[in-house]
Amino acid sequence: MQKITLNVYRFDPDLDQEPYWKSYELPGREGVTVLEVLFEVLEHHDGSLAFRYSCREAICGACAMYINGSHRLACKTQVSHLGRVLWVSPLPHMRVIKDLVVDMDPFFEKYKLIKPYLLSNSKPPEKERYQSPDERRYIDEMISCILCGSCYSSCPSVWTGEHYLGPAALMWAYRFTADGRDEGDAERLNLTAQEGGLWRCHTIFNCTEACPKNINLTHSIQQLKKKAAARVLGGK
Amino acid sequence: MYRPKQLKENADLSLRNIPVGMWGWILQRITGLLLVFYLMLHILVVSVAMWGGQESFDRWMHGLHNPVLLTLELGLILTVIYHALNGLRIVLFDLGYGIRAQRQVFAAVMVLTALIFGYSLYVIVPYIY
Amino acid sequence: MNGMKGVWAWLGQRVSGVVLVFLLGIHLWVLHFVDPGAGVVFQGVAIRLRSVFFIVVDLALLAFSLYHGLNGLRTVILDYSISEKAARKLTWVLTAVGVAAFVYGALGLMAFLSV
Ligand code: HEM
Repeated sequence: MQKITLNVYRFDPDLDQEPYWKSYELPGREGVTVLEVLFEVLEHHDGSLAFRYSCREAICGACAMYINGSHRLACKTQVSHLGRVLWVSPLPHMRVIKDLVVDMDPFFEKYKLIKPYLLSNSKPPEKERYQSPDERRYIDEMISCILCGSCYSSCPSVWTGEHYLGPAALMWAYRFTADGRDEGDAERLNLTAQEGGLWRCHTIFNCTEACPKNINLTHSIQQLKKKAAARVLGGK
Repeated sequence: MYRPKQLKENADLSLRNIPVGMWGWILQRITGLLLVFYLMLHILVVSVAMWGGQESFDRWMHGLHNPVLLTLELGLILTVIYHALNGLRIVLFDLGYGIRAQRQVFAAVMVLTALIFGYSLYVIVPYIY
Repeated sequence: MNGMKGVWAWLGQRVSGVVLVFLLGIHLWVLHFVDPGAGVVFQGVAIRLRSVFFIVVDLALLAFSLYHGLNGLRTVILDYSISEKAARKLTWVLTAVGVAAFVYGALGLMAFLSV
């Protein structure tokens, strides 16, 4: 099989003045993924290359990177789909800690802010808080989110809005308000429908384009806007 | 540590990687700001009638009636057409329609913009040159 | 928590935008498409403004475009993470600019009624 040329973004703040691209010529193999190519470098060329990964099956969200001009999960990206030349860099617009590892703290702080769990103030019923199969199906798409940060990295409102919640947090806020078992609508809308929050979304669709799980985040955020508007117009 | 150079390097602002939805937004922003600037100029120019009456107004209008400014005015019409149609596209999304077909909706906006602008050229151009 | 305040600016931008399609449509149609060769002259504007319809259209166009344009400008500036205090100041400044421009523009239009 043909050789692969990997160009990878390298930056160690302790040693390097500036980031730089480093090229590696690596053996190709049928079915090889970008993550495996990075392992190849780690094991045979340069043990200092830093990147995050865990599950290797697109369910943990750790290996989101910027690969050949798109946000992708390294573990589920087939090299053969991209040609023989790879350009791999950390999630754009995020602070680089080392090489492909970025600072995810702001992302998770904002996620926590919207209270990503079921809220209730009523007494629990005898058996369970019921959710019908239809209600469950409605949130299927949203709960496939693995919090990889691709949408957050792609959003122009995040780039300039230091406190802007970002696509993932807003999508999760809607995911809970759309859940029949949740009673936190008022609380979550108050948290999100602020000048610095929901209204900084300008339906740019970068988040939807970036999502490696093909979630239409814009759709969820638009629904949340409608909910907020309906609430205010309804006099609540 | 904050390193501007580092942020720029991994920012990816290359035009090639800007998706259609982002083009729509960038253009909406630029056209909107241009229109605000033009609106202010427009209010000022029309107000010469208040200061100098009919004679002054007609002198100004005559002075502005030249091929260069009229060509710029065509640009203004294009700006309005795009901003209005893309604005309607956004209102459509806000009402909950077309979100899952956003690429097609944007293509429709561009085609309509071209058609209406083409018609404007057809009507106005013969009178300019 | 200041209870979902941003809703109004957002709604206002959509509503004023849709209203502007009609107002600006009439404005551009009458001035550039009906008789493109005529140019804009004082007499023409004065005659048009004798009808209540055009006075209403022109004043509404002035008001809606100022509101929509300045509210849009506010949106753009708010995108750059300014403090809440600065945002309040900005709202006041833009409101003042809008009101002043409306009064000035309306007076400018009234000059055409004096003949
Ligand atoms: C003709 C009909 C018009 C329609 C349908 C329309 C529609 C819209 C909409 C829906 C937005 C919101 C965009 C967003 O949230 O991302 C917007 C933004 C804006 N509009 Fe208009 N508009 C119109 C005319 C005008 C005019 C005449 C002006 C100038 C006075 C103007 C200036 C702006 C500005 C400055 C923005 C903010 C841009 C931004 O947020 O990126 N618009 N317009």
